[in-house]
Amino acid sequence: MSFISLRDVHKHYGVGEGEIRAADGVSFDVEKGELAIIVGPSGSGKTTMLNLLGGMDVCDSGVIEFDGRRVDSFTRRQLIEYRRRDVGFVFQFYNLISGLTARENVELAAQLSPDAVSADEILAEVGLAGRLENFPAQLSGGEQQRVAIARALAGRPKLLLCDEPTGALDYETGKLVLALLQETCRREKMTIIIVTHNSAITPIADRVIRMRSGRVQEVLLNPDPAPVGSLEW
Amino acid sequence: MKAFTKIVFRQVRNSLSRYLSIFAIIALGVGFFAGVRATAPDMTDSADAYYDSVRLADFRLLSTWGFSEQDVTALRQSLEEQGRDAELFTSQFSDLIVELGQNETVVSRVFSWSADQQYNVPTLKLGRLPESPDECLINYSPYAEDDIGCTVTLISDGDGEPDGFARTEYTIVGAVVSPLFISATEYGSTNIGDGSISRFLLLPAENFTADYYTELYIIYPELTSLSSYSDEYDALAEEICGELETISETLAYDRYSVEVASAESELADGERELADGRAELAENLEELESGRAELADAADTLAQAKAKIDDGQAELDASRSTLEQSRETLEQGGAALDEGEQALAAAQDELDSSRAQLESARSELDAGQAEYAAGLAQYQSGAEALSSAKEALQSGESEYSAGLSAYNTALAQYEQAVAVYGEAALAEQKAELDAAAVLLTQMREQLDSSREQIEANQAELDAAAAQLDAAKTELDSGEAEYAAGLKQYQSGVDALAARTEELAAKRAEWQSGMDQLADGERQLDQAQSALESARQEYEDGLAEYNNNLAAFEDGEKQAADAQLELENAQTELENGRQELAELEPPEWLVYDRNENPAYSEYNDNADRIRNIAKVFPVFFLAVAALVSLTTMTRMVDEERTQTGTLLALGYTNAHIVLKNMVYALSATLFGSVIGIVIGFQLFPRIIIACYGIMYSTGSALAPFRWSIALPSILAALGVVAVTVFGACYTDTRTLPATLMRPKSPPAGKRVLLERVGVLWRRLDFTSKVSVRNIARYKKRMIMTIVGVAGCTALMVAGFGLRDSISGIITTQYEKVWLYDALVVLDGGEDAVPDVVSAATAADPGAQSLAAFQKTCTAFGEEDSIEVSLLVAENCDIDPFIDLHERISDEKYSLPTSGDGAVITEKLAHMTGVKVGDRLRIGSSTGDDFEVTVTAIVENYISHYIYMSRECYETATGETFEPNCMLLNYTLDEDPESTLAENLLSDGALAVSLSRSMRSALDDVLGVFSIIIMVLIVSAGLLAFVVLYNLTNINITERIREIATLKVLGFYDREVSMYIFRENIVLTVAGSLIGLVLGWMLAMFVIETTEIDSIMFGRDISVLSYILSAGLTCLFSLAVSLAMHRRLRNVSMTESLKSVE
Repeated sequence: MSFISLRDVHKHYGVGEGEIRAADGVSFDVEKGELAIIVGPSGSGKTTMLNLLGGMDVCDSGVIEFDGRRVDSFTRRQLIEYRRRDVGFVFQFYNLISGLTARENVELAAQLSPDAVSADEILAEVGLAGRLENFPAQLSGGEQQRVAIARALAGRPKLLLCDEPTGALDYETGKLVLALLQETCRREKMTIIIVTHNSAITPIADRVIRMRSGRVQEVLLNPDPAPVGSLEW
Repeated sequence: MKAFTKIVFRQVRNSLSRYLSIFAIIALGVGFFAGVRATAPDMTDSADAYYDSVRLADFRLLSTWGFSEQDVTALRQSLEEQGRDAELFTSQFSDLIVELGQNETVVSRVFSWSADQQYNVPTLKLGRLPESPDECLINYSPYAEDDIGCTVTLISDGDGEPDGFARTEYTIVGAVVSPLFISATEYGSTNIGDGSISRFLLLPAENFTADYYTELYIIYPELTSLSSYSDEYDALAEEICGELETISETLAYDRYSVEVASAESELADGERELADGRAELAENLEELESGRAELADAADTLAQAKAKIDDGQAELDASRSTLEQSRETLEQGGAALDEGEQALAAAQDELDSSRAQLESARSELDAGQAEYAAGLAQYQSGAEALSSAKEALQSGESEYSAGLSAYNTALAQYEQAVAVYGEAALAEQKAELDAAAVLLTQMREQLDSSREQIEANQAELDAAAAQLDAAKTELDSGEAEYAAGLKQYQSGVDALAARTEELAAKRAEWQSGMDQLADGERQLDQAQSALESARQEYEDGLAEYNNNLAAFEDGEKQAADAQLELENAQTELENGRQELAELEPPEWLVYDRNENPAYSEYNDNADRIRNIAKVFPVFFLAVAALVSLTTMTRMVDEERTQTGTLLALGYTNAHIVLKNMVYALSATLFGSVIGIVIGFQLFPRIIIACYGIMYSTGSALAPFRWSIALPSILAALGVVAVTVFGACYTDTRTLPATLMRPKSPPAGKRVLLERVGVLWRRLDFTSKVSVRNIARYKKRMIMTIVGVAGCTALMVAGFGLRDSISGIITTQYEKVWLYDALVVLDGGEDAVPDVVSAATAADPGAQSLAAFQKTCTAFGEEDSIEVSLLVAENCDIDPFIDLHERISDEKYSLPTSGDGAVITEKLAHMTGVKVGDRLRIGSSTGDDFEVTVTAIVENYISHYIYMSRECYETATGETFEPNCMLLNYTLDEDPESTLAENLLSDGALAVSLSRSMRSALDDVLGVFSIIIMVLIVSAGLLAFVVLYNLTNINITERIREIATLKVLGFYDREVSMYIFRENIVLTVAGSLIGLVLGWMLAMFVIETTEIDSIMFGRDISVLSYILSAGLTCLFSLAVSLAMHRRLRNVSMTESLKSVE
């Protein structure tokens, strides 16, 4: 049994004419410690996958298993606890609380988990030891994203979900963020799933899941992922 | 433009809740603003309509002398000359103590009433109008139903039985409200009973029998056409009042002159009459004097006459008694004579019978003689015959011897008689004797012849002789007897004759005596009759004298009476003159409607509402403006991109502003209109209805007032327009490109608090976050705080007002007035023991204090205030009325020396008097006096001046005489009412129980509570809307942040708390500020709404603060709960969206 396993997951939005089949029988697995990338164009259903995997939404049918638990049948509260304990999020637009400093943003997540890492430590890990007291507005996009990653990691989640983590970043910064993610995956043996439309970054992943129109087109296993530095896009 | 219009419409549809929130807050704000503003004019207009409909008189005239028919005519004349249209009405009234039903005795003002009354028309509330003169109407009260059917008895007008009424008993047939008594509870004051009028009665006018009117009412149509309470009305009324005063002065003086003149002439008449009377009296006295002399003379004459008569009488009497004696003697003599005569007659008779006897004896003797002779003859014959003659002779011899001896005897006798009577007189006897001698001789012869016969016939003759002898002896004895008898007779006859002669002489003598006596008597009788006529004359004279005397005495008495009468008349005249000298010209008092305290009080109340309308609604409007500002700012922010796009597409700034203006102003317009339509009806009607409990001013009018509506709408539109413009201003200054980029969220900043490391470190993380967030959204923070503070302040003001009002009753009755009943004594001091015994009978532990209570006027620097003066019999007032300072609670006692008095707080405040100052007090019955204020005490209801008996007497110079008593006892409601009934039946004119007074006051002040509840509810509603709106904005503004938190795994509660913690902090902060603001607002409102006769409390209870803050928090919580649901449903996918 895989760490994460999706079987025939369906998710429809809207009804009648305007019905959108965001997930139309999606099945795939992700193993523990893997860096997986779900890639596809806009409207392929990759964000829906992120929502379903992150417990932000529930599927209409199908099975979603996480570490042996059926996420698809979680209650609202179980879903919250799932998000709280097991999943970390990195958003495309960072979604930092602007009124809080970098450290406070991390602490905001850290306080939710009993075995959280200290904010200072994790921020140091993401290379922001010197910017602890800065407010998001005082940080660059990359720095903000790193704070976001730190925030996501602070609770020591079993799964890190990243939504277009480089989408709002310039090339260099994006690469730095990706490198951080890859490094984290390796070092912490953390399962990371990155959702992106940018195929260029797929080489760094252990597993690449290509989606189109709500279906999984192909799943590629990459036994030897490339280092981030080698990427070009 | 079509698309643009569509955008506007869609904008509304898409953000309906925002649109509605603007609509709601504006409706609330403007509705409240306009409604409360309209209340005061509505109040006065309703009252004006009522006054016009019942024709409340504009002026009331009183005169110290009452109005005579001439006065009224003169006034009518003057009013015509005044050149104004005026209607004059005459009326009667009197303040009386009346008995209602069985045992309720109340002070009542009694008015004349007629069915066609054209002024101050009463409005029938219950029952019917009187149909006969013995029916009446009573004031309407909640208990009026019980009054109807009761009998009302007019008992007293303070001095005794009321006069001037055709009857004193009436049946109540209906209950009315009268425009003269606008206040439903206070009917003004009077100078009888306890000084306050508690009921009014309308009696059919014909029951008033006085020949003057006690009051006049005037209605000016030109005033009627003006609105009561308006400045125009006041100005014109003042002008007319001045004119009326001038007229009154003239007429009053005219009346005075007329009265004085008539009094003068009356006095002159009186004096003339007096003089005449005096002259007459003098004349009469003179006549009396002469009468007296005459009488004295008459008395003398009479006395003399009397003496003379008496003398005459005495003489007469003496004469008469002499006569009487004579008569008696005569009569005795007469009687003796009669007796003598009788004896004579008897002797005659005897003599006659003797004669008859003698004669019969004679004849017998003769016969015997004859017989004897015959016998003798026989014998002799016999003697002759034979022999017996001797014998006969012998016998004759013896006889002869006997006869001779007899003869001798007789001769001796004769000789004796001759010796006595003479021979002449005894011729007969001589003859007889001679005869006898003859006889004897014969006999001698016979005897000698007979001797022979006798001897011859001795035997026979002896017998015959014996017989003859016997017969002879017999005869002889008979003869002797006879002779003796004859002799006796003869002597008797002689004696008789002598006696008869004697008697005849005596009788003649007597007769002359008798004649003399008769003569004397006749004379006496004449004298007597003369005396009698003299006496009669005297009696007549005496009677006349007595008559004259009586007449004289009568005359004297009359004269004395006349004297007295004249003296009385003199005194009367002097008094009259004195009175006339002292007579003040009558004073005609002209009162406008303000004389009626409730009339102006009602306006004061309207003013109070007007004052409230100046503060409260402005608050509402301000809060509404603030809320719409935030809402619009938020909207403009949200539509930043669209704005940018539109600008980029070539729409002008004006369009953008217009779009938002249309959005906001349409919401504002609709809200204003709806708010005004509802507000104009709701607030005035509620508030007027509330005042309706206290004031009878007819039904409420709530017209649509453009003068308030238009400015309100325009103000709302203006304020909102400014806020919209302000909100758009930044955008319109920004380049479209910038607009199209997401607006960078406000940068986080260090807050001041962080610099206070000690504190900051102590805060837990979430608190820090909250503090940061609060600091970050400053505008919203201020908005929330201001909004919440405003609402809290409104509520505090509302609750505070309620506290200050409701608290006063509790404090007044539990901390100040400790007595349980106030008893108005029936008959002053004498009734005290009755009351005491009744009270102790009901509760042995009952305490009592006799006191004197009077309604007075205290003169302040500007105002004069009606106060109750309460004078305690002794200083032991503590158990009944607690005199203490409000704040320090320091106890005071009544001063007992000098002219010290304790006065109540508001009185001190209104008159500007402080401890140690002097206060002038006036009363309707006595002179003004001054007291020294020694203490100022807590008191809320009415104004009081408390004095001890000693100080009162010192200050006024009057003697303390209790007219009421305060009672303290422990009784439940039922025994208490029994006690009240007992008191009323004995000793009390009226009993007011604190318990019932308190509940009555509770009712009255309950009115305020309702108004206040309206305020509180409105404020609460506002608080709710504000909080809802602000929270709503808060959430909308931070939806991404919320979604992010949810994605991070915040529980629903944690998410809500993340947001609400700020709300809580802001609400709490706002509330705290609101509490302070509220206190200030409350103080302002209390001062502006306070009624003169009542001091509102200045203490707002902690509970009110807690309630206000608590309610605000509760609204906040309610809003939070509503928002919690919304937060729960915030989609996490929002977190993934790009910033718009």
